[in-house]
Amino acid sequence: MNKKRKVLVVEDDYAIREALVSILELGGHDIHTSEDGQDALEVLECKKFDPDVILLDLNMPRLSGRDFLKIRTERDIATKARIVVFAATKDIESLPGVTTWIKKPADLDEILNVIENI
Amino acid sequence: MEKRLAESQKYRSHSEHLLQHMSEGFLALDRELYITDANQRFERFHGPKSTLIGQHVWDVMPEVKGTRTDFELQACLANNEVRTFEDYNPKFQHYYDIRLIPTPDGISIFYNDITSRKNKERQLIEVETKFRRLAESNIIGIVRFDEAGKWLEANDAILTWLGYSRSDLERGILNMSRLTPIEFHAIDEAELLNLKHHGYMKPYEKEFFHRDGTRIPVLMSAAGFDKNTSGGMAYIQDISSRKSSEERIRLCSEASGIAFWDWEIGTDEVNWINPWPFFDSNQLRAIPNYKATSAQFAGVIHPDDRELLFQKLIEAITEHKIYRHEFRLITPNGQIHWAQGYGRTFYDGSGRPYRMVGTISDITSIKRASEKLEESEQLYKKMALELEESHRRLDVALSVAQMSVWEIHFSDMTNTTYSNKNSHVFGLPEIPSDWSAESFYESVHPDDRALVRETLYKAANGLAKEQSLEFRVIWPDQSVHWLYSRARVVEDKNGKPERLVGAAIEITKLKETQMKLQLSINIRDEFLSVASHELRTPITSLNLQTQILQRLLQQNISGQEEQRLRRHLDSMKIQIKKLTSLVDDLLDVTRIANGKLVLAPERFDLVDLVHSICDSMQEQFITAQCKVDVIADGSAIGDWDRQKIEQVVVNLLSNACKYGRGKPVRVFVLKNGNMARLIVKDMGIGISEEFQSRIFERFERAVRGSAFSGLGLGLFISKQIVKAHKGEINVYSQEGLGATFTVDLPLAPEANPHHHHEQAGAS
Repeated sequence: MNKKRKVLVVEDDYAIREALVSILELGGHDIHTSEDGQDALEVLECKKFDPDVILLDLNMPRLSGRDFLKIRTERDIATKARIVVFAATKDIESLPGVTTWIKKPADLDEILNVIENI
Repeated sequence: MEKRLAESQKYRSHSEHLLQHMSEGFLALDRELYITDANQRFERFHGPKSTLIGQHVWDVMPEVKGTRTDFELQACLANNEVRTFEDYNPKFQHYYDIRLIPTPDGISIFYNDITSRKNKERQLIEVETKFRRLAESNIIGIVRFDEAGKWLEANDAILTWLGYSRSDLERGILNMSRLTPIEFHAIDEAELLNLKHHGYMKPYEKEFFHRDGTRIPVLMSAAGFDKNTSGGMAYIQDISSRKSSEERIRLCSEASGIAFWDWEIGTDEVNWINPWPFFDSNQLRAIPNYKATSAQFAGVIHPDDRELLFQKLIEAITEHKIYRHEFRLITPNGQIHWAQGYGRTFYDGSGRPYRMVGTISDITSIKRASEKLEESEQLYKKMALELEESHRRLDVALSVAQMSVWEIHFSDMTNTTYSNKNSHVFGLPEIPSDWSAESFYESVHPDDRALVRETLYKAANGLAKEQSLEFRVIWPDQSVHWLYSRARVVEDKNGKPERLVGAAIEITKLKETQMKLQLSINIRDEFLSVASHELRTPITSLNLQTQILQRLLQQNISGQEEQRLRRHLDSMKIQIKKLTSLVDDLLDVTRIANGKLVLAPERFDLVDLVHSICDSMQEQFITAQCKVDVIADGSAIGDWDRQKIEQVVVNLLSNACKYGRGKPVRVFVLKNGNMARLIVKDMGIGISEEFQSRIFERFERAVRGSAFSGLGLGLFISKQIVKAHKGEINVYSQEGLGATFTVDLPLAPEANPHHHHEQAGAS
């Protein structure tokens, strides 16, 4: 059960980003972080990190989660990665390529469960 | 001889003297008509004899030349004969009796002034002519009668009137008494006696028999010939036509209820030209010849009116006024009649009143009608006053309310009437007289014209009977004002829209306030939206950090210290959960306010959901010391948003625990027709009736103050969620006796007991 995932955490809030990193470390996952969508795109495009899962916030400066998803689909980037949206809103229907959704504020176990079982 | 001569001389001078002084005029002419002598009378008119003698007669009296006298002079000279004739002198305008006597030297003229005699003769002729004409005409009948009243002579007029012929007269069968009805014999005799003593009789009315026995009313007077002889000449006037017109008057008066009276003030005798319309014939017989004195007359006047009536009469007489007065009469059978008296006084040369003539009319019915009229007039006046008062009140009310009342006739849209206080809604000092529906449209804000037109169109075509409309008008000063107008269609007899009657009120301030309010609500909602989003981030972080801390704690610390830290962490987690829930509520509210409440329906069983919620809330129930029982009737399957419905159930259960702390809570899940019904019943403090209608509003809580925490959003959100599911949420409560909330949600269409079972089993 204890699958190790390569997770790209895209979150602009430092505290949440760090908390997510701590949680995912607890689960023993391989983690890379981006401050916003733009940063994430760059990471993926230069193949600095090749994630299994992208844990994506929606409201971010520079490039929002929504725009990130749009560009990812357009440019066909990191298509094998599963997308987990981590947000307060639940309008994933309008977002392309999203696998699942974790509602803020989430439980530690919930996050680990989703990441491990995706 | 000498003596004879002397005597002759004496006689001659005597004759001359006589000639000179006689009253006849004398003039002597020679054969050539030169004046040779004249007497004093001639001198008096033509100058002294000394100048006259030797003059030609036509030089002295040129006016006579060519007259009869001229002719006679020639005849006298030629025939040497005496001529006697009468002639008229145009200069003196006199008649003269003239004698021309031929003399050896010429002509002696004697003349006499006969003008006065001539005039008398002419007058006599005129009188005779007139009399003859009168006698010969039918205007007047003339009869010469003797002492015994036998008719000696009569003109055709009277004979014709009475139907007799001249031969009847000549046979001597006509006489006064035979031709007169018996009741006039006494007056005839009295008047004949008058004739004998005074030589005349005053005209009086009597009747003669016609040959056929009918009576002819006449007015007769007579003159005697001699004091000592009876008999005389009678002048008779036929007054039957006058009588018949009197009869007409009488009939008219009877028909019209007007009686004519003639009051001889001196003798106090009242003559009634016709019988009183108010009294029957028996009563009238008691007043011979319809005559009564004023005192007798007073007897039939209502006692209360007598004094005033005579006062009015005297007033009219003394002040030379027309008498007009209303009073009551009492008929013999005791009936009371209203009468109106009207009269005019006649005064003699010295200004003394001697007679009053007038009418009296029965105005009982008029009086009654006028009483009725007065009554209804009073009533009408009262109504009018009341109406005026209510109009005034309405005006005051309208002006106080700043309200305008208007009316539009669909048949004539130019015919728009406004209450007098209407002008202010259009910012005008007053509505101009030529104000029409078009003027109204022009004053409407261009953006609202279509709306206003459409509304009027609907009203005119019977599509909307009642309307309310908010629209803007532009005042003459270009300022924009909001009006609120309510109107109702008034239909004609056939049920067709006839006119639109409405009231308008200016709501600019209200509208501004409303807009400000809406703006502040928008700002609030935006703030809440931003705030709840912004709050969520630190909470998320805090929540995750706490959990990491807890996990680390589990791995690394043990013993007494671990217990203490765990307690603090648990408390932190509870606080974070509360904070999360509050922020969630706020976020939900802002979503609802923005119309972003989106449902994600899925099919599930409400009974299952309620059970699992209760399980997960056990901790909370225990804390609240509430025993929660779930009573469910089979299953209740519907297509609902699970998370949202869960939110509703959690909210209701949390409230039940919060307000019904320490008391049991009962939860029912039932089916009611095609609706699932959830009932949450607590035994808590209850909700006052006043609050029951408000608890589903935003930020409302049944209990004010800090004893119970919460933002007061739970029930609002619940209601919105239920509404979005086309369901209903209600509350039944009495203060102090707990509250019962019911939630009705539509069941899935194909959901029947059998399916439920299968699905319940499958899920």
